[in-house]
Amino acid sequence: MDAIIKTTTRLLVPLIMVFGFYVSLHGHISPGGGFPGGVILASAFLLLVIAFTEKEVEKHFSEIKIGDLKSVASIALLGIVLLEVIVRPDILHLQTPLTLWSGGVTIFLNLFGAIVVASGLVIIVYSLVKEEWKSKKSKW
Amino acid sequence: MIFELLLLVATILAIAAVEAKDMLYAVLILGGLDLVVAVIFYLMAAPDIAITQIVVTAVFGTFIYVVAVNRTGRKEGIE
Repeated sequence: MDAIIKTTTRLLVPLIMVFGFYVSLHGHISPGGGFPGGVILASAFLLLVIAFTEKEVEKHFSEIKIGDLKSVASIALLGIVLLEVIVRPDILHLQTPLTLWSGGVTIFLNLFGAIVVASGLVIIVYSLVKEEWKSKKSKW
Repeated sequence: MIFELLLLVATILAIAAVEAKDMLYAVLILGGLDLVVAVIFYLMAAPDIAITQIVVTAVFGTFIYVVAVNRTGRKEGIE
């Protein structure tokens, strides 16, 4: 792609990622949540894949690391649920209502759910685009 | 008033997406249809569904359709 798209992508990708974390962290007090936040995070990777070539993308992202991230976030999600069921930590007393730090452990569930959704979608996009990069007659 | 206007625009875009001969144009019109449907959801007091509609259908659906069009060919009915 040309220089305009590359420069715009360099400016926009961090902002899109910040917005994805904002949507997923504010999931319990405003519209949004783990799933839309994760898909916004993955759409930043989508823009990166469209604008840059194969080597430039693989310098920063590797598929194995993203798969590991998905596994770690899934285990963390399971750990939070088991912590709620078994230990029952009473963190609602430490929180103030109607602020960001409220709603029990929902904020952690939203955060790790967003990471699981984002890494899964990144793996899907990566496997789709790698086929396009392999075929020589493709326009990408 | 604006709600009925958006419903009319959504209907016109859906018919245009079906009738388009070029598949890439059909996919882009479908993306526009998803944005209009998201605004309709927002006016019906469902901003959560509107966010999911924009993010999943208008971004990821369009990407997957573009990859499929890139593999199968742009013109309709020609092999």
